[in-house]
Amino acid sequence: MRRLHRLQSKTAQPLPRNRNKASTDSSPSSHRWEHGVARLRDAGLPVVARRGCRSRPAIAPGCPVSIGLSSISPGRTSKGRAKPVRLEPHDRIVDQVGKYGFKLLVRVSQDPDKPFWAGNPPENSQHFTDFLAALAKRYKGRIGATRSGTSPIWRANGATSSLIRRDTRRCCAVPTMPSRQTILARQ
Amino acid sequence: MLRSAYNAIKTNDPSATVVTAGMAPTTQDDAIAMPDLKFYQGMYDAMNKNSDGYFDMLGVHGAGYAVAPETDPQVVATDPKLNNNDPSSTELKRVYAFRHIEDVRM
Repeated sequence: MRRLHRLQSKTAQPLPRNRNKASTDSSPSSHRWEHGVARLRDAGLPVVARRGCRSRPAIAPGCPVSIGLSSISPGRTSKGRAKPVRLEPHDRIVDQVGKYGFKLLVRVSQDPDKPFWAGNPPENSQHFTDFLAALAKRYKGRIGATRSGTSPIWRANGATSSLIRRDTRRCCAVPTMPSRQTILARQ
Repeated sequence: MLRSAYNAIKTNDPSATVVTAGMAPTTQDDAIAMPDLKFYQGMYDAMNKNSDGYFDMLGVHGAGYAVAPETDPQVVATDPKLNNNDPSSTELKRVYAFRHIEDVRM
């Protein structure tokens, strides 16, 4: 991850301090942020594909690595309204990740109507379900795992308990998919 | 919602892996939030303790707070500097340790 951040300084425009701004702001800076992250991915994916994760020496060069990096959500306007869903940026992510042989772990934490959070459940769960169905159909076979939430996940069974202990260092690799490793990239 | 989401995804992509939302560890227990273990217990109760048809993997938030991942949760729970001066009971304050994940596994 640190390497990706270093790459950012060389290859992409600076990220704003407030990452949430990207999902709530339709200003030009929001566009620059999105563009910068896209360039960062373009630079970082081949590096990870070639070298694996720096903090995971167990990952041999060329080892398949899974990447979870996409929060699919419509975003909000500055007035709090949901923006029309734009899946084109995510199409690009799925294409790029597939190109390097990774698997995607996708977080879907909002529906087209409203973001939901603690104490703020979705107004219409069917809308969220429909949204998930549309995503599953669009990216059929190209997404390794789909979840709603915000942070690392772990398989919750005894068979992976040793992996859980081994992989906790530096919050980089997450053992979610058999025989693969998952890296949570920040977005 | 979890069951309908699972069905929606599996209907359109049977090979997809469905993961539950990772609960943010907290000791807050009110109308806004609840401890993750309490939520998981309620979730499993609602599923009649059988996750078939609901999810493939259980998502868990394992971020911890201010210590190295390998730190003993009991140490974290008893040191105010490591548990954000949380006034909750010692047992609840284990959520500030990364290895709280092992509490969830149990």
